[in-house]
Amino acid sequence: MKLSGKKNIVCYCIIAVIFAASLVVWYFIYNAEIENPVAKIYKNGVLIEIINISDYDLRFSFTVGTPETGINEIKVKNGEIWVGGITDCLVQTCVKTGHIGSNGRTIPIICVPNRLEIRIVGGENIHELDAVAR
Amino acid sequence: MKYNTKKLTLTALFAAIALIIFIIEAQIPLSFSVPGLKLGLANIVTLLILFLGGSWKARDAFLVLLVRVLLAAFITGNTMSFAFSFAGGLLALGVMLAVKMALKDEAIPVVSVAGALAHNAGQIAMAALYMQSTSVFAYFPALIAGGIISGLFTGFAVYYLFKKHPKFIGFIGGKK
Repeated sequence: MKLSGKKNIVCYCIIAVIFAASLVVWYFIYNAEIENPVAKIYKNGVLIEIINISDYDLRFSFTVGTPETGINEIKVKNGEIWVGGITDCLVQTCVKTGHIGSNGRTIPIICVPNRLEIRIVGGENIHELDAVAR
Repeated sequence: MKYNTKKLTLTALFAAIALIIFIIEAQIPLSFSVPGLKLGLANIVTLLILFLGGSWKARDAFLVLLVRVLLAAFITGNTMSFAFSFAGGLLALGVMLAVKMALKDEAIPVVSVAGALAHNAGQIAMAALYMQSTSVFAYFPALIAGGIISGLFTGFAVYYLFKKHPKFIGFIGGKK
């Protein structure tokens, strides 16, 4: 049982490089500025809603799903979208992800048990996407 | 399979310890913007068995993992987490075995980090398959960074268990 040794040192260097690289990539994912962000909501891999999140000055909330597929309450206000309220999943990861859409927070909200996903994308082609959704 | 009473008891004990660590760990909130991040402390038991040597084989680590994941699913009632834990745990076990064989000088922390990363990769892959979406990979960099920290932590925990408690390791049938 040794901690030193040539192979070990090489391994620690590789680990350090991977660690640094992952932090850099994470920083860019977390801080991606997107112009005119819109939120796309997917349920079971299907796009069900596109929301222009900057349109709502007052809080607007709605639910997605049924008791069978799992209910998530989605809230929108001032360019931010988040999951909260009556959300019936065991892990609550989607709630803990918090608000996305503003301050460059573009990490997708993902609720694995309910197969729900909220993605922030640039809004330049929102009309084209709207046409697809309808 | 040859199991004498002592080894059978120890295997059950390991499974119980792993389960307790697993359940306590689930209560620790680690939600600083990285959903899904866990300490992975239950891997300490798997890692310990892998490095024990003597009559302890990878098969025993697999058994303890299986019992832990099954019982955790029964206790929490979360059947989906069973599939996720099992996929992650199995991949981690395989990768740890491979890395352990590749590095003959038995670097516990390195093997532990490799296991943690494999565990995260397995879970992300399962989530992507289940969600039919690649968005989950956005969380991968954060899980890699977190996995390295927790992997080093569990690795050094097992390393010091071997170094500081040779009598205990000898008692449970491992090499000196």
